[in-house]
Amino acid sequence: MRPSFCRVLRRLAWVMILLSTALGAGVAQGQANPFATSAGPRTEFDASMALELRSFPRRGELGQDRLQPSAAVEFTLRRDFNGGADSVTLTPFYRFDQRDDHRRRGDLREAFYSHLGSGFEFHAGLRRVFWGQTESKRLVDVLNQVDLVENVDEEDRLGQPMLSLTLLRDWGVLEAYLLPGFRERTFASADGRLSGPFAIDEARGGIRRVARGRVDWALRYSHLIGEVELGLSWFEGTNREPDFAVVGPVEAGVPIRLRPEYGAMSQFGLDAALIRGDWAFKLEALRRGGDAPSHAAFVVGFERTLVGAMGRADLGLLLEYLYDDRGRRTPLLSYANDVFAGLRIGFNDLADSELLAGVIVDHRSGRQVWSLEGSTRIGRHWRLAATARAFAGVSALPAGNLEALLEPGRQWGALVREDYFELELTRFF
Amino acid sequence: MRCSWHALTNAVFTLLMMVLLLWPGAATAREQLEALLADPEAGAEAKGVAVAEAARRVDAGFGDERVAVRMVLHDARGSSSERSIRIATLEGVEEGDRSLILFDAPRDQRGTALLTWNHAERESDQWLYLPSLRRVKKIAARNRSGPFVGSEFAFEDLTAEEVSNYRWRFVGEVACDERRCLEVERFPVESWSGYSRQQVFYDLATLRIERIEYYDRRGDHLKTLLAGDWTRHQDRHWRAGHMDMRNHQTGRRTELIWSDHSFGHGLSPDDFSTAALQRLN
Repeated sequence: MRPSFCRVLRRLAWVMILLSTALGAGVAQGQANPFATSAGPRTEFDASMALELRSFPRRGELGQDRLQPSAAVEFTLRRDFNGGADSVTLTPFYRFDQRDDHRRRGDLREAFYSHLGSGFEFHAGLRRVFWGQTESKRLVDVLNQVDLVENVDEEDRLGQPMLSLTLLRDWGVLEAYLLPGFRERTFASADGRLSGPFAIDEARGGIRRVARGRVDWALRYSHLIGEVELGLSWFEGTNREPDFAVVGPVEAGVPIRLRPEYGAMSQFGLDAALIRGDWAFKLEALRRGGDAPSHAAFVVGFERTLVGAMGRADLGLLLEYLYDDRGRRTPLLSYANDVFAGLRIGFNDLADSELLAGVIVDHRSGRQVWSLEGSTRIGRHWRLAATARAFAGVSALPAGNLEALLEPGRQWGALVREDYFELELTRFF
Repeated sequence: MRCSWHALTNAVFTLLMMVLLLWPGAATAREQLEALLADPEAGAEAKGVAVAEAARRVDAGFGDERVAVRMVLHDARGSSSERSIRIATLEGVEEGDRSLILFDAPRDQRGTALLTWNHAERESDQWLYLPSLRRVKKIAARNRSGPFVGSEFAFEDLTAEEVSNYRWRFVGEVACDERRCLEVERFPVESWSGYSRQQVFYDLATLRIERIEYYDRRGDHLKTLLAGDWTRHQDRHWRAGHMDMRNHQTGRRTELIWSDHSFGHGLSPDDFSTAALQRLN
């Protein structure tokens, strides 16, 4: 270890000790885990194995295959010490994919040490953290990079290297993050599907150092105020959403090579939820500045739960409005002026079957992103999940002019041939 | 050695003091209840509330409690499915009780957890933890009237009810199996409840709930809950080891097998926070 790094660590430890002392008012009295049964070390092990088959009605823009079989394993190993006050968590993951070598990879989904103290938590390592409230888009949640090769719904995230301190007080929860590196966004390779005509460099989720002379950090405050659950976040660091530079010439029949560029950003985020009877109102909003022109975005909407509306099943009706003031320059999978309508069904059967169907519509251009996700348990250890996605109302690519995709407002053309149906069978151990 | 002797004398003294303080009081409360129930002038509503409050008082002071539950779900065709959960409850002093439910099995649900804050005067707050997303999600308390994880129990059947959540009506002293029971009708106040009324049968001797008949919002007989296999903890808290909920309209049935009751872990409200919800595994 280099001495300068030690010095930084020592300084950080001091800052954290001072911070926890300074903010000592209203210290929470909780234990590490209310279910902890003994003070001795405890080891827990979970594993799952999944087979996945994606089927595309059409070949890709560059003739990519219609069937994409794949298999994945994930382990979670957790060891507790001191009655759960200290723990180490490791989650190795490996996926094999027959078509896409960006999906042929091992990854540590999480690898971190935790200390749960009285009124504070400390975590160090690769970790995943969730911020936010809305259903159609995870807008303010920028700590973890999107693992797009796993799923284009942006729900899968890569472990972020971090040191984090959480203060639990009666006036709320304050989280402070120091982020010594960041992860590259993963993208499908040109041989894989959902890649359009693009071949994107450095798209394997590698850990990169933050630009020289800069320190990435974030703060989040959250609290239940009356009936409103409020979260405020500030992020200062590397933008997880890259810009793209075209590398080399653009020729027909050959993938367009893009190089992602990660600039700096400052983001203020707000998320809130209010539950009234069977209505849940949700809001996320952000203002982001930095290397790219600054912009604002929000998602606002509600979910209405109807219990017993369909016999035993619970029904959830979702409606959200998505806005992004980048307008036509809003990147793919973000939404400038869209309405999301969704339906959630919890069947309340022995197999815990569930279904979520939804569509995100840009009412000006008519572009629609449809999705249907359902799953059910088979026997005691298996779960079968089906996903369908369709990108409708997208104008087809201009023949021989793939570069047009890079023009504002044309970006969705990349997904015009990428409708798919996926079956996934998972065995839990 | 000297230390433990000291602790022992201390404990015996404390116990003696508690018995001295509580015994006559408890007897008086009991006598008061019996006197009220025997009073022909007293209204059925006042009597109902008195029974509910007495039952609540008998069980008060458990502090915190942990228990493991095996749920066996039977559908009408004879298929069955099992779930394993753990529950931790913190007795509310000024506010309502708080509880945590952690799912251990089936494996695909493992790590999912539910946090509930009951309130006497308004709707409960409830949060669900989804481990695959590391997400804590606040959910509508209205979900409490739906089937809990596919079982015949609604969430509202599983939580310790606040007396103020119902209107009460005392019916009378009746025979139930080989014991004497107090029959009380109760009517949910909250509009989201799945029931129009319930008939509750309290064991006369212990005031524990032996049986509940549930009537749906249309007033039709929906379910019967039978509790049995009782054990007594800390000399006063009765807990059922077996519960059986039969749905008469669908022919479905759910059994709950309760085990490993334990009390007094020194849990605090902060163990029942959204932060704690994320670190149960």
